[in-house]
Amino acid sequence: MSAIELKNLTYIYGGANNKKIKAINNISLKIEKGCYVGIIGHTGSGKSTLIQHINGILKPTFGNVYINGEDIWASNKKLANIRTKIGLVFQYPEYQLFEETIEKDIAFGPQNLGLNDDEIKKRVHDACIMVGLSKDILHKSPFEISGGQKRRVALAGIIAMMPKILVLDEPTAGLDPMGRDKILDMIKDYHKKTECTVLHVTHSMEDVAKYADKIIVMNKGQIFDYNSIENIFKRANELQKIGLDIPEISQVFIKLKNRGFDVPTNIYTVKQAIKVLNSLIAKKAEQ
Amino acid sequence: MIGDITIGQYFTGNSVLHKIDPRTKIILTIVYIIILFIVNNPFAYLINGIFILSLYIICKIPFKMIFSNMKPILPVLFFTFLINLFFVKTGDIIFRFWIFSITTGAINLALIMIVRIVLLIAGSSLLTYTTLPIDLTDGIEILLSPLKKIHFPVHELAMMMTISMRFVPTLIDETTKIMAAQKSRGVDMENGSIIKRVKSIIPILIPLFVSAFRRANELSIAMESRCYRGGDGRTRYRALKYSYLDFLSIIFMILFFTVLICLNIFT
Repeated sequence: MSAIELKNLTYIYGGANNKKIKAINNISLKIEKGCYVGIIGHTGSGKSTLIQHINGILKPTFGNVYINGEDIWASNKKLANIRTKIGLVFQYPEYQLFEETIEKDIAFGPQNLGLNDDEIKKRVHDACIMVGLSKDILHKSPFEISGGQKRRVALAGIIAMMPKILVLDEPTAGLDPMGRDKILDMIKDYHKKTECTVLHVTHSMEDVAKYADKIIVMNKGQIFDYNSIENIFKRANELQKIGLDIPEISQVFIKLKNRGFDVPTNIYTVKQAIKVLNSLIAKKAEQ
Repeated sequence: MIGDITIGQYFTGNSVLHKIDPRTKIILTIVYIIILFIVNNPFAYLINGIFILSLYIICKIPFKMIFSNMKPILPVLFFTFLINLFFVKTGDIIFRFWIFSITTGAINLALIMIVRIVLLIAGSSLLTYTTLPIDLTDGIEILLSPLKKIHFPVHELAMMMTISMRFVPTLIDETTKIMAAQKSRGVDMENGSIIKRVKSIIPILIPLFVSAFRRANELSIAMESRCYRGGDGRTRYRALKYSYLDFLSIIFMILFFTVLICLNIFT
């Protein structure tokens, strides 16, 4: 059974002057349990709209959403129940903070799950460790810490709910490179530890190549391709036509190959590249 | 839900009413409202109603807008009707119950008040339907400019109105986003007791206020860095100009108002 299944999903909304716009056009999709899926697409391709269907924030105009085989729109009670299993982190999640202290804010989600105080305390503690928040800021107001810290608090608030499916909408937008890597590593960690399903919306091909198992490429409200990283990046020319690109490091290797160097072209991360280049240099030295 | 607010909406169009200068429209609307409360002849109200409906047709604004505007003020209409019905004591008594009595004069006035309010809303809504908010505030600013003599901050007031109107859609957008975010943290706004639902508003209101203040702060910095320093000596990019349409519409409205008043006096 797949963790998430979308069947003929279409979402239409009224734009200016009552024009009907199809944000999502007849998407069918199955995502396996425990998979780390990157969702990538041009601005306005329907990525954010798609993920808001997964926990029932948006109601599909046509089609169905199944989580663990259950139709989430079958009843209102089911919907509330489903939302507790899915952690949706929106763009700029720090704007949803509201409590007096950081501790209370992280505890807000678990409280809504109806857990007892000991369990909540434990979860807040665990979530803080996971996102790398030190204990002494827990009693500060969430409005007096830096933007990067706020982002972590917001993430901790979702992680403390221990969702089986974690959906992230550009979790690193507006962060510096250091903060970016830390947050992405932390998400990957959580993924490995809990074996949850992760959907990660991003603009960065580099991030997708580094962290994801599979990629969904979206274009104009439809799925252009849902495939492994290797198979997606093979279609580099088509990707460029829809305004996307393969990682810069892959482009370097394709150019090297074209210039007559004996290098593989299925390199997607800097780590892989270093390995290949080192062995190449070693070979040269032997000669 | 929040997107349903229709009062103050602007309809793009190219009708005569769209082309008239906002200053003319504001003044004519005010006079219209005054006349509405002077006149109490049923026949005058009929003519008035037909006039307003034909304006809606000219501007190509759907009639259903009148009804959707009435919805939020239905309680006001209802109470106005009741109060007039029970507390006006003119004319013959036609019904008596305990301390309440209903007279012919009361029914008459209660009905007139309802018609007045409906015409008032339908007529004055035309102003916002056919005028861009920015033109409207420009018009208000110029019309109020004599008050500058007594140091009334006219420009600042107009700027505040423009900005708040500009940010209504932004804040609605923001609210939907925050609601979605809190829903996915387990806030249940659809089910549960009233107390529970009221409590669920707090996680939405606080972030909304925080972001409104943040936006205000950013906007003021952006304005100052483009050398905005208030109204003195400030020229306009969109200057308002009267055209022949304004004079025609003023003459037409004077005639219309005269007819209404004559009807009121001589019948």
